Amino acid sequence: MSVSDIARHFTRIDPRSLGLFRVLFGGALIADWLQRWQNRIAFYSNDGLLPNHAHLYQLKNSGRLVWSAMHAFSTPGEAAVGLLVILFFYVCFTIGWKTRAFHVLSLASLVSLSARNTFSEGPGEALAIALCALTLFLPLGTSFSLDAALAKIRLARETKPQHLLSPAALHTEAEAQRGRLPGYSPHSIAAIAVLGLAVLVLLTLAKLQSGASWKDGSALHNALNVYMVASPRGFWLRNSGLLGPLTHVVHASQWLVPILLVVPLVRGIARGGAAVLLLIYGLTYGLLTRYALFGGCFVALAALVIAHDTWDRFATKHVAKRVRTVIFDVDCGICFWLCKTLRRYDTAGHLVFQGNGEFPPSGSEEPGTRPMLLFRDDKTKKIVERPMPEGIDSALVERTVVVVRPDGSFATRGAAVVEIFRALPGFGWLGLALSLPGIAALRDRLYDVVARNRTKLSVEMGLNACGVQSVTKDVPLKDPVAPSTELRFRAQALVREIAVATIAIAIAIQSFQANGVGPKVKTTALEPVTWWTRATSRWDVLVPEPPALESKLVVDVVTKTDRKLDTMTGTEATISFDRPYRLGGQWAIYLERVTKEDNKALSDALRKYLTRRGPRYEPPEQNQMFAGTDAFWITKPALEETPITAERLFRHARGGAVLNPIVAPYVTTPQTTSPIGRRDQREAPRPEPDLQEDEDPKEQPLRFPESPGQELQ
Amino acid sequence: MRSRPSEWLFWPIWAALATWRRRGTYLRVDPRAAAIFRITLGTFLCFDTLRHFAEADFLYSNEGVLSNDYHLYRPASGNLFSFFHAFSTWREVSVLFALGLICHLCLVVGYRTRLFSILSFLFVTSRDSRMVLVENGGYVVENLACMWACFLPLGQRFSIDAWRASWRAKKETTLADLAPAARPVAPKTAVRTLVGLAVVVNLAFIYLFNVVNKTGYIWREGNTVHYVLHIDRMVTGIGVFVREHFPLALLKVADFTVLAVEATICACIISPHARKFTRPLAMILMIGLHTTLGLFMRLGPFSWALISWSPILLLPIHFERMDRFYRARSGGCELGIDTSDPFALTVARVVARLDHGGRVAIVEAPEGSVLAVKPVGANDAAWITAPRAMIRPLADALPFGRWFHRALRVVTLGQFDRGVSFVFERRTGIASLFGLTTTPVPDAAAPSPFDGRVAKAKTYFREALIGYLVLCATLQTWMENKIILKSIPPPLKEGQELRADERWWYDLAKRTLGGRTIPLKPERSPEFLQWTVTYPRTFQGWGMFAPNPIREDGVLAVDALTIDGRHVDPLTGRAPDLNLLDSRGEGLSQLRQDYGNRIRLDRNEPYRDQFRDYLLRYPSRTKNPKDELIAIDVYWVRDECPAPGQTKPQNNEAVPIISWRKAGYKPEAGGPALPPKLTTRSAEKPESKKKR
Repeated sequence: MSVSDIARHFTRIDPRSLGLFRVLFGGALIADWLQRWQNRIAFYSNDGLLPNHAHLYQLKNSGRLVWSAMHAFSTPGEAAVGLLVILFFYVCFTIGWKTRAFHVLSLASLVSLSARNTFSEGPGEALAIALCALTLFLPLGTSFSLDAALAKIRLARETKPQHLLSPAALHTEAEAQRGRLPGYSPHSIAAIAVLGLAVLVLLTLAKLQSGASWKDGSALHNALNVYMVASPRGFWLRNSGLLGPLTHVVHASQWLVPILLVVPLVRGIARGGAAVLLLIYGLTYGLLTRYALFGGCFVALAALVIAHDTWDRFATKHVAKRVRTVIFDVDCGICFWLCKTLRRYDTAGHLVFQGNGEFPPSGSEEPGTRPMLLFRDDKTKKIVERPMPEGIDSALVERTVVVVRPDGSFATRGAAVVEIFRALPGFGWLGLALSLPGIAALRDRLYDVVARNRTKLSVEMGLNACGVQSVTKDVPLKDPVAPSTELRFRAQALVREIAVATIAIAIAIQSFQANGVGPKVKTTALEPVTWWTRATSRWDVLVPEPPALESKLVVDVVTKTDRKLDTMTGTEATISFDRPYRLGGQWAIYLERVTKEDNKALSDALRKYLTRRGPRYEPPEQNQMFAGTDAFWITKPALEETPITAERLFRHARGGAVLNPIVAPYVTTPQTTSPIGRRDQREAPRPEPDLQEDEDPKEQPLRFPESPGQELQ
Repeated sequence: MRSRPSEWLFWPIWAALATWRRRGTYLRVDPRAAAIFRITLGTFLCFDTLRHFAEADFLYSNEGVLSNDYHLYRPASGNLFSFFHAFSTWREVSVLFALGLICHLCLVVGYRTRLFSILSFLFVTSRDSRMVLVENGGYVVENLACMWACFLPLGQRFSIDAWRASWRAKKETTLADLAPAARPVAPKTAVRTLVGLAVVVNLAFIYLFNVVNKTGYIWREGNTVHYVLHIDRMVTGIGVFVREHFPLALLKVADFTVLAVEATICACIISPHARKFTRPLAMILMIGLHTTLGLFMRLGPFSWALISWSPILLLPIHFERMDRFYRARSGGCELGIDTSDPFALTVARVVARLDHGGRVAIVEAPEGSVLAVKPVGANDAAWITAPRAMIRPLADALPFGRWFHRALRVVTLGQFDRGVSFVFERRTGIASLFGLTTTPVPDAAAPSPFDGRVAKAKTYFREALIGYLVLCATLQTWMENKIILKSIPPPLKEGQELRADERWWYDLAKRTLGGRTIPLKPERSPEFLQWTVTYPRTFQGWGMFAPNPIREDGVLAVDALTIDGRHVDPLTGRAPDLNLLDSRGEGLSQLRQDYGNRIRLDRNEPYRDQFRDYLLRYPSRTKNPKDELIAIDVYWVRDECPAPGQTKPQNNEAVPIISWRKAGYKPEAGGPALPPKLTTRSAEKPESKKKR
């Protein structure tokens, strides 16, 4: 293995890895979006915890502005529209449609969602933004995407059945690299940067997670017994015996994965091992804890580390048993189009396409006039001829597609489609699904409908119809890349490398500074890069170990209709911790910060919010205060039932109806209207009354617009 | 002999029927007209964006007069949304302006036209919504033009999109491919769409209501132009010259001319007959009227937005006439090419696409040359092979090519021909560099029937959306224009007096209806209408200087005391000027003068603290610590415009609207004492308050 080989290994990520990463990362973003959608009123509208103007005012006063497009959205309706637009961006990114554009928009969306509420930013957002920013310079749409599929179809120039057998129609890997065609992936610093990010985060956490529970294997068990750390799934598994070994695996992964990624030898196995460990790591955090986005990022990273060799072994592995010959109707435009398309996914060379044009018209056959079957020889890998199996005649091939197996048996109709999927690498699962009882019958019926109407469909799609010859001039099957295009690619590559290097260095420096791990780099030159993109690089996930105390906010409410509930859960108010926490990471981080930090505006905003609504309760009349509210911050040691401490954060009107007698023995600071922050208020006063307790928005009606066209009167 | 009633009923009914029969004509939009509209609108948007960018610091950033957080806290209007709210500092706002400018430039050149027309629309409405305090009718015109533009076929002609589509659709490799019959045809057929009706009728309504709303006595007496030219905060130097040197009689003529021109424009736009004359006449009158207005008054985007809107009125016959006009003054030519030379083939492809008139015949080049040009019908000795000499006859044969050639030579300072020669001499290398070949490629597939169905579905959806917007625009026009009464008979305000003719109609209505009232407008607009109209700021109330022009002039003036005892106006940097009587035009931009005119209104009092804070940041702008302010008095300085026949304004008054003193200030030795704080009062006159 030469030095250049090693360099190539580290500076290039397989395009299929990029594609799979995009799908998984997009899925993680969408899952995160679902959580935010549930919290849209609380976190993204002015009816929530932090109106946009209050947030901007806070930031302005602190002298540290952030940018978020979500600051422009005020009402719940506007916030909903904004979030739906973001979902559209995420979906388009995930399916790989106009990938680069929607990648940029997804990054801007992620930054906006994060920066809109700087008080609820967590490590998941920081990691997701860093990952999104660094992969922006990689062609994520080059594989497993709609863009790639459409590009392959566009580049398919075969016009005759014999072209389907010619390798000249397919682009080689070198041609794809040179022309930036589907399957392209550059040699770039971005590849090193992305993998470097994974290594950085893992090693940082390995260093920071130094508590005893990580060493003795009880960390996950302890974590899942902390109310606002465990997800609902994690809550139900909190006493499982698997958590001990899982803790060791997770903790060890933080050392093992970097080693496996850096090792240039046996890279297939090393990278495969790293991928498995990252998957376990990501799923553990993603499914069991509140760090869903954090875990989702690692699941996506698992796809990125899969080596080129592994993909090739999977995709190009030629299995003799899977070789098939597809006899199709040459006069059917849609059939020919499908053959061209399937050919581009047949990376293992299992399929041989043979038109039925050589068969004499049915009814006019004479003995011995059947054509020979084209087949791929297992040893030479070349296409050879052999006798057509019995049973395949003109009438059959005119009626249905026929797929011939190596042993001479053949399948028709829907079963032939199944055989085709089984031959294609990565599509076997689809063939299996289509073979299931019930689905098979449906499959055959659908096939018959399509086959009967294939002429109409071909005409409808503008393809050759039965009996209609297309008039096409002879054109080359591929176009060379112009030198000007190559020059343009080089210039783009230069810009790309400079940008990636800048961002990667900025993230690394920020990580060293924010986590106190790594070289002591004293510079603020690149700080704006991480500040404005919110790639804050703070990886404080269960560090140094899971908290020993668990806390919850209970909001005991009596509504105007005399309904009694806890608006944080939507059920009756209780101080017990025997139910899972369902509000997600954003609420958890926010509540921890607002109860610890001295921020009057935050406290006032939370109080105002909780006296009118809650995350699990929307009153039928908007902006009407409850008849009474008591908010308690309940704390107890995790893993133990006692001692419980309760702090009344505030009381509104007549207070709640359920908890007062229950918490009375536990209340440590019996204040009736205490500010939520515990320390002195050092907030600069706002000139206008902003967040007063009894402010009723109805007293400040919005002015209806006057017609500016009738000004100047 | 016909009876009198049927006689005077006949012609309106005939006109209405004739108009109904010609209704289809309103639905057609010529793609060339849409393209020129795109270019003029895009150009206008670029300049308007730059105009606003010059005041970005003052109006759109947190260093200005209204921070984003405060505007979000107390929005100036309901249903307000703006992307500008997400941008705080001047640098952030600059980035947004740069993005907006890019969108407008892409619109001008027709690159990804639909996308950038929508983004341009979002940008201008966001910019408008961010600072409603400076909004006037011109902004609404701009928003409407951009909104309707989103649905027009802007990119079908004279655009990069059209060029690319044509280039990719077919690669000609033989002379037969380049024959006129085989060449790609640029779309000329008018597109049938509801937006064609919307954009024309909306334009007509702007003028219609601008005329009918002008019911005031000042208009009737012909004194509007006189009063308007004496509004010093708006008037330009040319306007000052006119008011000082032109007699009142001429100004009265101008007054009635404005009304007549506006009415004529409306009639010409809407007329279904003789459109080949009425439409160009409307364009000429629009350009004339608004250029004059723009020269005399600083009204912001109003004039220029309407001028940029006018090309949509062009019809196919106008383009045909322009083409005939040019053809009569130019000749055709033959372009000889060597089809084995990729450079020559590429040139031929370019010429084939520019040659809409079919006046360039592409033939085999003479022996020994790859490119040559000769006049049509000339013998072989007339072939021109020198590159520079080829340009002129070729340009002459292309539509308006001669003029474009001259323009290109001017823009390139005469180096265009030399550049062409340079490229020609290096054609082999250039062809190799850009991968130009003579190898055929497959023609782009013609749209399939499925594509046609999808296109049709998109069309239906688009037309449905336009129909909804047309409905909203119509309802909004009905609701907003005061000339359309709220009810019959209309409600009278306490103490309101009617003229004799108004009284006559009022009594007739009461008698006829027997005391009942027929409501013509609901009390409140329906909510869907409010959302649809208010969010994009696409109102439909038109009444510039209606029913009467304002007769009171006013500007904002600030008397600020610096720490070293100087009196300065931070808005101008000069000494405060509290006397408007001697003004000969204040030289304020529309943005500044509209901001001043709005901040003085009582309803905008909540925004005055932000303005004061802007003034207090004066030393940070001048970088002079001695400019620290210890006292600020903001005045609305007003006077009454001189009556017709007079030249001097009267009753100058400086109304304090903001008075601030630095808390805890103790003058140092020699430092100025703090003057007593003024009592602020309303800058709105009692009469105007009653009107509200």
